[in-house]
Amino acid sequence: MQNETPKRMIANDMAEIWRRDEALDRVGGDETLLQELCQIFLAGYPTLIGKLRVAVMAGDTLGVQQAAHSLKGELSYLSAMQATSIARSMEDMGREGNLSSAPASLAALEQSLALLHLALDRAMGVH
Amino acid sequence: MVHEKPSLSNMVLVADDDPVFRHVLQSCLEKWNYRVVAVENGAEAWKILQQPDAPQLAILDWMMPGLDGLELCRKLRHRQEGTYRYLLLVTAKDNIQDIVAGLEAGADDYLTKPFDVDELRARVRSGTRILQLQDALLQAHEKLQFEAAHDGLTGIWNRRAILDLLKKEVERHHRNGEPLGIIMADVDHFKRINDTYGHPAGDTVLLEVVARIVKSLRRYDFVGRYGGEEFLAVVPGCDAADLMASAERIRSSIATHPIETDAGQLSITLSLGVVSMQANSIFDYESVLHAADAALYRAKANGRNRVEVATSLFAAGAGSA
Repeated sequence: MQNETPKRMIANDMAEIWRRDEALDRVGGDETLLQELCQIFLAGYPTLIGKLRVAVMAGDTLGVQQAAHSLKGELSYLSAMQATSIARSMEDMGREGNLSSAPASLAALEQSLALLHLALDRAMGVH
Repeated sequence: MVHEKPSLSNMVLVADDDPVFRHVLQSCLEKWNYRVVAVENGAEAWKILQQPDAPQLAILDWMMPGLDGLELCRKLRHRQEGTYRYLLLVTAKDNIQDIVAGLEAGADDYLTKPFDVDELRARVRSGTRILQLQDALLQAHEKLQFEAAHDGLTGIWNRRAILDLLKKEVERHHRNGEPLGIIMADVDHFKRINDTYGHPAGDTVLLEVVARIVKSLRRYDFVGRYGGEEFLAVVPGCDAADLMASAERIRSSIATHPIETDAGQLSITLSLGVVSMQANSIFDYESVLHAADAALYRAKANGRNRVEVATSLFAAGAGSA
């Protein structure tokens, strides 16, 4: 996976955008709860990605670590596998104080989130 | 879905700055019949957990702005308050070292994100079990404390407890100079009642005598069983005249109305010895007790069913009789 570019990784791995069944299992099969969580996530993630973007641009390692940590938590709960993995690596970058790959990862994360947004909208009958 | 039974320990505090997790926790816990108080940061959680009626179980996210879950655990444990709080710390799965630090900071258990609801339920249930056990222990402790200080038959203070109370009130009297009254009362010919009508009738007499003594005094006076059929009342802030009136009220309440027992109506009388400690008295509680006993003895010697005052103490005290 490390040898692939983030863009290629996303294109090749659509199935890893969202494991809906796994997320549903995690909430005990409660469709309503899952839908509510998706709505809360969709309403809140633009703020978190905004914070991450600002932190990456400013070279703020702690800011990157914190924003990526929050995103990682929500994404992993919803079983958004790919975005979780990118957010986790960005959290590590922040913790280790090395943001050299952060802009590329941020772009990959934004693309992955755009695909996730589409998938969640579709599941909730928006499209 | 099976619901947990509501109980004293079914309130849960959820502290998480992440809206997704706050919603998962609140929604699931409410579904399982827990009452949830949800807050967005550690400072709010700390404020709530310091209140006496705060939830006993708290689910705290490790990463929160300001006061985080770890620091909250430390602060709560540092307080060492009477009621135990069960603390469940939530942390990210890939931060195993957090778990050790969390437990060392005082967390009882932990939950790693992303947790599934079955795990959440199991962890919360185990916390609830501990808290219910604590409730049961506290109740048993309170019951034992009550039993250790109260008379098994009549429910009033037992001998040791009433003597402790007398000692404290005598000390208080010496400190603040407020008058203090002591009444020692003994059921006349009680042995004869037991021998003639049996112990159940004797017990009924004791219960009714206690009820009438208590009714004749104020709510904040102390009444204890000093011996088999002997009672001691400690009456703070009462001058000699009021004390005499109280003793006479007790005597009369028993002498004028027979007591109903399974063996029939029994006419009972009480002899009473009274000590009134006025300002500047120097007597310790043993002398006071001795004086009350002597006065009671005189009441018996002078024909029973009467109140006698401890004259020696009056002469040495404020001099009123």
